Amino acid sequence: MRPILLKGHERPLTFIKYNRDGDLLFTCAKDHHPTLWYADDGERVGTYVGHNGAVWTCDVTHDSRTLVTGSADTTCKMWDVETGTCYFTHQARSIHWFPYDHFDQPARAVALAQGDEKMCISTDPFMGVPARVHIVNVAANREEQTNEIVASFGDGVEGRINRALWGPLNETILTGGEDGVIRAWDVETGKIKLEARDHKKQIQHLCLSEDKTHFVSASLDKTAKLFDSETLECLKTYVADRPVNAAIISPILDHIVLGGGQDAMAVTTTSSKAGKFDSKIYFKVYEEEIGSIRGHFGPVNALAFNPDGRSFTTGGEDGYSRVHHLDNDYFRIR
Amino acid sequence: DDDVNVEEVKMDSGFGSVVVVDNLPKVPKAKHEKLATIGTVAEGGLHMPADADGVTKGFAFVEFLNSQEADAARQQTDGYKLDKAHVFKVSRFDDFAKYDAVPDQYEEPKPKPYVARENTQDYMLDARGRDQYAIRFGDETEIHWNDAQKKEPVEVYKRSFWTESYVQWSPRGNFLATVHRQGVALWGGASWQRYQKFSHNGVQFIEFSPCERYLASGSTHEGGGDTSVVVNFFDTRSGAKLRNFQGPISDFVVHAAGSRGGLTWPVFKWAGPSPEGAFFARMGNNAVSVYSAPDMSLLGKKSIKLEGVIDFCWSPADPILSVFQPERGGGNEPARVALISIPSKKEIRSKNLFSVSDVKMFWQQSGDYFAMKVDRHTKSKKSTYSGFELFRVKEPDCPMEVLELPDKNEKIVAFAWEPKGHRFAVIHGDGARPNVSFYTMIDDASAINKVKLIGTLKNKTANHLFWSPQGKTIVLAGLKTMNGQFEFFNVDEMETMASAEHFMATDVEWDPTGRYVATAVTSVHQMENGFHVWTFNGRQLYKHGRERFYQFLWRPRAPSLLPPEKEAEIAKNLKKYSKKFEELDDSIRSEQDSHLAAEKRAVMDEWKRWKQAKTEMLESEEH
Amino acid sequence: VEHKLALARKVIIERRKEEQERVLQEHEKELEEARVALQRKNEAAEAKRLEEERRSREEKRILQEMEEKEKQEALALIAEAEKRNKALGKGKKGLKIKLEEGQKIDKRSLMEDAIKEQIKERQDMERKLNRLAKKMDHLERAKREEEVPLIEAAYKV
Repeated sequence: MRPILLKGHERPLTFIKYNRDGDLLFTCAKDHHPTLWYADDGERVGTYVGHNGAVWTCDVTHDSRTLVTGSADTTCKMWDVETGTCYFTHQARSIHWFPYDHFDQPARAVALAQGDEKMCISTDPFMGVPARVHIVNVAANREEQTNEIVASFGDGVEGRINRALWGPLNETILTGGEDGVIRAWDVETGKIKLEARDHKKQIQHLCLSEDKTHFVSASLDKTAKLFDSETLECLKTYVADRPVNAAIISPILDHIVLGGGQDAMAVTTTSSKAGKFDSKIYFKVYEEEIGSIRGHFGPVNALAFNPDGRSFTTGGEDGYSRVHHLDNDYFRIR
Repeated sequence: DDDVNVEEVKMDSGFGSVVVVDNLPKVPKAKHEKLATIGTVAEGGLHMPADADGVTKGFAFVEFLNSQEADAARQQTDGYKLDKAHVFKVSRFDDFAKYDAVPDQYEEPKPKPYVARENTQDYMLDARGRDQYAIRFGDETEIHWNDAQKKEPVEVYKRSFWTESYVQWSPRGNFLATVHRQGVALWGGASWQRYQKFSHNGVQFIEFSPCERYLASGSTHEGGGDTSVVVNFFDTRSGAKLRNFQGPISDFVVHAAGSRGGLTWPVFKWAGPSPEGAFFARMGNNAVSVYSAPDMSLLGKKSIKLEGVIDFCWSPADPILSVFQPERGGGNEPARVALISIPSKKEIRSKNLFSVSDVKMFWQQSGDYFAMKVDRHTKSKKSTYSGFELFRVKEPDCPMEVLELPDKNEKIVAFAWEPKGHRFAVIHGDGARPNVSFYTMIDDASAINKVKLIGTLKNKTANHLFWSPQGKTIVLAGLKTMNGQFEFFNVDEMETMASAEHFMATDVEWDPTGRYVATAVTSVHQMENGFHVWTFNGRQLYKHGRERFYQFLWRPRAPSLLPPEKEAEIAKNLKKYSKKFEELDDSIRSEQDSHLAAEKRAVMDEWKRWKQAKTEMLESEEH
Repeated sequence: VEHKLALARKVIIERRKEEQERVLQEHEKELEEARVALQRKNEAAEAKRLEEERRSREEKRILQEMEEKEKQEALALIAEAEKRNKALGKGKKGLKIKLEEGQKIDKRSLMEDAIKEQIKERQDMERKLNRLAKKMDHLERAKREEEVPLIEAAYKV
């Protein structure tokens, strides 16, 4: 089936998120406006206006009412999904991010905890301040939302934390970033519980399985790897012949999709094929490639599976998103 | 003792740069200076012992700047006739010391313990008739079976840091040669033991004789402001050095008008195997010198005089040389091509050519035909056009004809003879999608044989031609700017069997039987390194990706020992064999399938167990 | 007074007259407007009719052209198929197209035939090549098998 092309962003895509029901699709890009689309037909619903920098990430609550976004403008905003109004802004300048309360740091990753009562925000190293992960409460009643930080940790991390996720039962935060190390942080103590140094280059993306027992990591070392989310044991390796920017796990089949591509600087020929901008599908268990899907004219930066597992969306450096509805042939693959 | 990397340390006697010149005239002191004019000598490096009366003793010690120069001087002056009575005998000083050390009493050499050598043709005994290839990537060299039934490479042997630069099979496939700073090593047999080593410091280039009996190794050395060239000839079985050629690079480069200049390996080219002997030749200024193995002497003690010669080539099958001399005497003498039979040195055929700007020679594999692409310029020299001179070498009087393509101004992109056949293919055209034409040397319709066009394929993405070693099938390849497009074409039927792509492919190599083709992306590109193996009709067997991929080399096979009548008999009874092979292949395939299926099942079972355990644990923690 | 009354009446009569005239004029104007409107309506209807006529003619023409084009394409297909048949030579089957007198040439069915034929050709080719591949492979292996004792004997010498 032909992919649906989503044209709305003028700059490279950075992140894609489906809501729980799989009917809404949120895209973030280096332009300042996160955008909402109908996941099925790709119709644009609207944009969230308020950020003043690249938007790196977003997450949406289980009830699809609240969208949280993190931006290079050093803020993390909370929006009403339906009306598009921002009802709360976490800003580095105005809040005490212990012990660093006098610098602005770009927000790189946000993730809501299971139950939507908390969220974690990772901030980039900036002006000598190293990267940190901060945990803030998410108030059920929007009027009661505060910027109070419950916990903040990050000792030992070098470079950016590109991705932060809540581990099983909200007991850990899983992070991966520029230093190529995957860490599980104890949410209670803020200490590193486990580390995995299986990747040789920086980690671009992490994605948990539906049941949270395992997650996949995407790395510039041209591989994606599957880890036990509890022990951080590396279970599988997917060898791609290009730097991997994003990897996702199918919610219904034992499949992995990964995307990436050569840096524009490294591509020597004009052919879009040379850059390896296609997304590849792998058998999760066998580590074998099943097929690939072409279309983008630049590296794929973001990937997300529809929770129903019947479609996924790719977001490219070329500024486009493509919704791929998987056809019956795909579901016959064994 | 197979560690070839260990440097064989030789202590320098300090006299390496000293030669001894004997058979000098015995002259009084007054005439000493006359003798001192030979060679470039280190300051105060000439010492001529004289007797009490001041008369020289008839020999001299000469010290040069270094041992290379000393060797070169020795080579140039040894045997020099000063006059009838005085023929120089020049030797290395070190050799005197060496011979001094030889005991006067002859000692019988102790016999070396006999070690049975493994059969270096063991790879030809494979029960399933598979072929091997060598690949080199990163620091690794690996030998694999090409397993068409299992559709995967099956490892035979591998070794890290096996070679320091590249590897090369000997022409009959008995040995794999590895190239090191200290020299060359040959490996073979089932356990890949080292079979032989040849020391040659700084060796860069190697070339086996087609019969594998001899190995030439070459190197260039910088030093003293000039580059010198060393070429050694070895006996592959005994390891003995048979001859050494060395001298300044200028001795190995042709200084003629139209010469391409610079040193091009191979400096010495081997002739095809022949009953008359093993010949090799090199081109000099106004001459081609032919040598014969194993005595390595100049054939007939004389080079073949060929004024202005700038290119030569051996027939791959017979001792026949093709030579090209460009226009000489400021245009008074035309360019000329000639075929010369060796060892008789008789010209079989020659032809004068006019207005020639460049030529390229192409021998057909079995030596039946010889073609020369001739680029000519118009009178004004403003534009060039191309044509072919075709020689029927094996027919009486070696008939010759000229072929011009319909549009002779078109660029000739590639030319290739069908091996063992009578056809050739030409890629011609100036655009991005040139045409491919096929010609035959046999015209059934005509009483005399004439070259005839079979057909032209228009607008092909091809810039290279790769005939199957069996002929009939050709791969039209679009490499480099064409990104790796392939067309597997059947020339008998003039139909395309398959089109395929191996993105960015740089190399194409047919297996020795014409059943399979390998295409590779080598490290000239950063991405996509590795190789694909295809059937002759363009069906992909498997892909193999390897970073920093350098070489893919099918292992050659020695010519078949089967008499022709036996081959005919086999062809007649092929059904009987076919049945057996099909059963064998089916069982291997099903075994492979069930093996793979079992492997997959095991992996899946393990995964399921893991997941079950995790899920249960999570559930119990949640409650 | 009398004079004044008379004058007043005259004025009134005058006014009435004027009024009557005005009403008449208005009536006439209305009639005229109605006439013009009707005329305009008629003209528009006529124009529309003409336009429709023209359009239907155009449609017919396009349809005819398309039919003609389809016919030409179909004929070209037939010609090509015949050419291929000729090129294949005797004894080889190619695409056969029967054209009955007065039969409407249907491009789609022709195309389907051609595609079916192409698929068949490809399958035939595939089979032929597989046979050839097997033959080549088996011949090579048979020769190698028979050569084995000769190679072993040569080694032992």
